[in-house]
Amino acid sequence: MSPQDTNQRPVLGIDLGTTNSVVASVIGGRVQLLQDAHGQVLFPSAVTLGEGDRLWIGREALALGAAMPGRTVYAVKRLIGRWYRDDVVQRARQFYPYRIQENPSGGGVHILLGERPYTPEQVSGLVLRELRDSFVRQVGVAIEDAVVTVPAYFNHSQREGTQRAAAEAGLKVLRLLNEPTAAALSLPGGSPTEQIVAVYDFGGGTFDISVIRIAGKVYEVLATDGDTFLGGDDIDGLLCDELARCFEADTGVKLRHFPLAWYRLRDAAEKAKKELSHNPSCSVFLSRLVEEHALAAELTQARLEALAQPLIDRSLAICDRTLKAAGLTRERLHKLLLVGGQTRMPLIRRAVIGFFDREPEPGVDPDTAVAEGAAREGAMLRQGSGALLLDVTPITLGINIAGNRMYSIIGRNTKVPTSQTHVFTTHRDQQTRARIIILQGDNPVASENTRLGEVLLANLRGYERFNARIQVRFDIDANGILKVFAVDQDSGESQALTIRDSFNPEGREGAEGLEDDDTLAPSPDQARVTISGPFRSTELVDVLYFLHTNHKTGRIGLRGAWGGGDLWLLDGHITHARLGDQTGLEAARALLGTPGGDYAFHEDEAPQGPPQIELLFEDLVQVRPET
Amino acid sequence: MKATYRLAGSDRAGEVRNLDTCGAFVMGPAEPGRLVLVLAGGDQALALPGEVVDVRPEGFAFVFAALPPETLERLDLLLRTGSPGAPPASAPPPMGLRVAGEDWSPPVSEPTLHQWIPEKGPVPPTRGEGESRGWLSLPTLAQDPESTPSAVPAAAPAPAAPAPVAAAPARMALPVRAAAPARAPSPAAEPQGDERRQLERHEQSIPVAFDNLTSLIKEFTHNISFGGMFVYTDRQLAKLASTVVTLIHPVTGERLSLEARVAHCGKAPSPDPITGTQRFGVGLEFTLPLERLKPLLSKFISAHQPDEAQPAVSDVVGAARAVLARGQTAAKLLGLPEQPQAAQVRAAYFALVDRFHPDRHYGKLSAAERQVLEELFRRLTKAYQELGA
Repeated sequence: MSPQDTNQRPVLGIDLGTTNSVVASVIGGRVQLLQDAHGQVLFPSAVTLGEGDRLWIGREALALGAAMPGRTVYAVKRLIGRWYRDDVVQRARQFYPYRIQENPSGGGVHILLGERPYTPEQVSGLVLRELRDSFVRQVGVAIEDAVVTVPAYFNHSQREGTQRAAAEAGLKVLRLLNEPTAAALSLPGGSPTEQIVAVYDFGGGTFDISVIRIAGKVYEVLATDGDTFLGGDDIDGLLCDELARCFEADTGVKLRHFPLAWYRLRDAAEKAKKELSHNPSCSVFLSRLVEEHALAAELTQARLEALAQPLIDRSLAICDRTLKAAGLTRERLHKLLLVGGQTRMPLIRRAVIGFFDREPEPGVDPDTAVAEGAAREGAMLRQGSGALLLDVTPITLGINIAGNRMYSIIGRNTKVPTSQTHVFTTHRDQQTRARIIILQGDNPVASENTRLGEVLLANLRGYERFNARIQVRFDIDANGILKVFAVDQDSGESQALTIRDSFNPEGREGAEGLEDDDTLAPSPDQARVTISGPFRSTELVDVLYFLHTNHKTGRIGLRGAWGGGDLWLLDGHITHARLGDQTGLEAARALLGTPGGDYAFHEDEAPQGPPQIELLFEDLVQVRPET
Repeated sequence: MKATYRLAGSDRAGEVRNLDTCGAFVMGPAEPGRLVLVLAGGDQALALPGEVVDVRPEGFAFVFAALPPETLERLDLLLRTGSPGAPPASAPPPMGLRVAGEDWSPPVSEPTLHQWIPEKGPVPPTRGEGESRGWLSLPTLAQDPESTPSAVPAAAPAPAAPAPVAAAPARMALPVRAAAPARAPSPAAEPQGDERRQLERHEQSIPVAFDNLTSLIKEFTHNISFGGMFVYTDRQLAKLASTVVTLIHPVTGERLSLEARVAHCGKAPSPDPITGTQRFGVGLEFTLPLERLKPLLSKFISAHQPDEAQPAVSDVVGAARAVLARGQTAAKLLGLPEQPQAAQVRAAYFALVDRFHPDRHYGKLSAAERQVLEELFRRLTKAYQELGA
C-alpha cells in the first residue's frame, strides 16, 4: 500500500450512540450509510454473551436480551470513563438488568456478561469492531481510520474512554467530534451568506445543544452545552416506573426485584413511547410478567407528556443558557436542526419549535445526521478540502486556588486547539509544596467541581509568600483532550500531566478535604485577575501585602454584598481609596481593618481605567472598624 | 544552528532546535529566568530577549518576549532562509542544510543567486574507466518508465520509486533503494569488472529529497550547478563508483535522475544528530557535462509552480510564518487596517483559518510544522476575539 493509496482510503464516521449506533463514510464524494440485511441503518449498541460463550452484537444481542437479561449489555456509553463510585454508575446499577461491579484494579467499572467481566470500553470496542467489519463487507474497501462522535458535554475521561474503545476495535481515531457539531456538518456549506444554526440533539442517553455559524466552508461553533444524563432512556425509565407502579398496585409485586421482568418492561415501555408519538393512547400487556401475574395498563399521550415535561424543561433551560453564551437572541438564528431519534416525540417538537419560534430544517434525518457529519469531517481530514470545523471546548477547566476557589484557565466555549498559561504564586511563607488540582466545571467553589487529576510540585524554594512564580499551562488538542504543565520558575521543577485516568477515587469529597496549605494563589502579576467567589477579608491583606512589597502599581476593585470600593496603588503605596461614601485614609482603614499605616494619599489623582485586580468579598463588611 | 547567551556573567553556547517565532529549545545549561538569546547566521546576529520556561538535563526551553516587528521579520527571514540579516542573494552557505559537509566542499565557493550560470566553469567531472558506457542502458532504469535518455524531468512522480521522504527541517533525506542489507556492496569492495559495476549501479540509486523549494534552489545554486553535491547515505560507497542520484522536487514530487560518481566517501559513519542513525557523508559529481546539466536542472526547478488546489505543505507553513510575522497587533495579524469593522474581521479570520487551520493539512505535517500552524490558529483566534467580532 503506497502512501498515495492511504490518502484515498475512506474514513468511517461513527455515531456511537447510547442505544443505537450509525456508521457512514464518504465514498466517491457521496455519503454512504451502513445498512444491515434488513436495510436498517440503526445498529443497536448491545452485546450478549450467548450459549457456548459466543458473543452476539447488535440486533441479535437485543433479541437475545429478553431471554438472557443478565448476559446482555446495553447503554454502556453512560458508564464509559466513569468511576465506580460515581453517582451515575450507582444509579445505573439499579436501572439496568446487568450486573455492574467495581474493577478490582483501578476502581473503574466492570460489567458482568455471565460471569465474565468486561470494561465498558471493551464492550463499546466490540460494537465498534462489528460496525467496522460490517461496513468493510458492504463497501469492500479496507478501512482503519475513523471519526467518532461523543456528546459535547463528555469530559476528558469519557473522551479518553471512547478512544480506548476504538483502539480495542483496532480503529485509529482521527478525531473525536462533538455530536451536535457533527450534525451541523451534515448541512451543506458553501453559501456566501452567513447562517446561524442551532442544533438540538436529544439522543438516547444524552442531550446536547450547539449554536454554529456557517460562512463559506467554515463552520464556527459559537457555544455548546449539554447534559450527559438526559435522554430518551430517561423517558423510558419514567414510563417503566409508571408501569411498575400500576403493576404493584394491581398485584403487590415489586418489579425491581425481577431482572427479566424489568427487561421486558423496558422493552414494552420503549415501544409504548414510540406508539404514543402517533396515537393519543396505547395499551401495554405483558403476560406472566412475574409468575402468574400479567401487566395490563393503558397509557395516554397526556400522561407520557406529563412525565416527560420536566426533562424537556431541563433541556430548554440549557438551550437558553447556550444562546446567552453565544451572545445571540432567538431571532438571530437562521436554522434549527433537530437531531436524535427522541426529537420525533410530538411533545419535544412542540416545545423546541415553541422555544426557538422556528420550524426545524426539513430533510434532516434525526437518526443519521450525526454519522453523516462525522463522515464529512473524516473526508475533510483526509483530503484537506470541504467543511472546516472550528470547535470549542464545552467545559470550563481550571485549578483550585487558596480558599477552595476555582480559578478558570480555559473557559467554556474556547476554540480548540488552544493553550493558556497563567502564573500563580504561593500564599504561605516558606511554602515548599504546590498541589495543583485540575478541575472542570463552572462552580466558583473548587470542591463543587469535578476533579480531573493533580500535579504536585514538591521542591519549591520556600520563599516568603507571593514571591514564587509558578507557571501553569493548559493545552487542549482538537479532540478535547487536556494536557497540563506546571513549572516552578525558581527551582526549574516541572511536571506534566496528561489527563488520562481522571477517575476521582474520593468522589467530590476529595476536593472538599483539600489541605489549603499546599494550594496556590493567583499571581497579581497577571493582568486583570478576576476572582469571583466567597472570599475572606484576610486575603485582601495578603494581596495588598504583596502589592506593597513588590512595588506594584494598579487598581484593585472590591465588590461585595455591601457595595463596591477601590484601592489605587502607586509604587506600593495606596494613593486613593474609596469604600462606599468614604474616601482616603478612612476608607483604607475600613478596608484593611487596621488603623494608621504609612499610606500616602493624593486625592486629586483620580484613578483611571478599569481595575486590574477585581476581588469579590463576602465578609468584608465585618472588618470595617468603628467609625 | 549555534546560539550564544549570557548567563551569570559568562557566555554560553548551544545548538538551537525547534526554532519558531515563539521560542526555541537550546541544547545547553541555563537557569530559569530572563536572558537574551543570540542567534548567529553567517556574519549576522539576531538578539532575542525572552524567558527560560523549562529546564531539562539536555537543554532548556526558551520563549521569546514580545518582539518588535523588525526583529520578528528578521527572525522569520532566518527561519525561511537560514540567515537573519540579508536575503539569500548574499547569504553565506545555508545554515542547517548540511550540504558542504565536514570534509568536503563544493568545487567553487561563494556562489550567489546572480551566479545562476557562473562564468567560470567548475571542476569538470572526473572521467573514469568505462565511462563510454551510457548509464541509461542499465537494467535498473528500465524499471523507471519516467526516465528518458535525455534525463528530462519526469512528468509525474514515479510510482515504483522508494517511499518519499518526509525530511526533518533543513535535512536532506537519504533513502537508498537497496532493500536487503545483503545486497549492499561491501564497504571494501572495489569495482572489479563490468558485471560487478553494473550490479553496483543497479543498487546505488540515491533519492534526494528536499524540505522545500528554497533548499532545492540553494542546493542548486551552491553545489549542483557546479557539478556536484554532498549527501548522506546509510552505507559506505566505494570511491569512483557510479551511481544514480534521483532529485525529488519538494513541491511537485517529480523526479530527475542523474548519473553521478562518488568523488568522496567518509571512512567512518557519523550519527545523525536528530535520528541517531549512522550514516556516511558522500561527495558526488555528476557525469553529465555542465552545459547540459544546468539547463536541465533549471527547468526542473523553475518549471513547476505549486498546484493551486493542493498547495504544498512547505509553502503553506512558509506562508503561515509570514502571517505570524505580520505584526503583533490584532488588526495587523489579520491584515486589516486599525479599528476594522466586525464584518471585515470575521471575513479575514474565516479566510485565514480556512487556509491555515491544521485540520486542512491533517496527516501531512511534521510535528514542527503543525506547531507553526497551531500557533498561528491560536494567535488568529485571539486577534479575532480581541477585535470582538
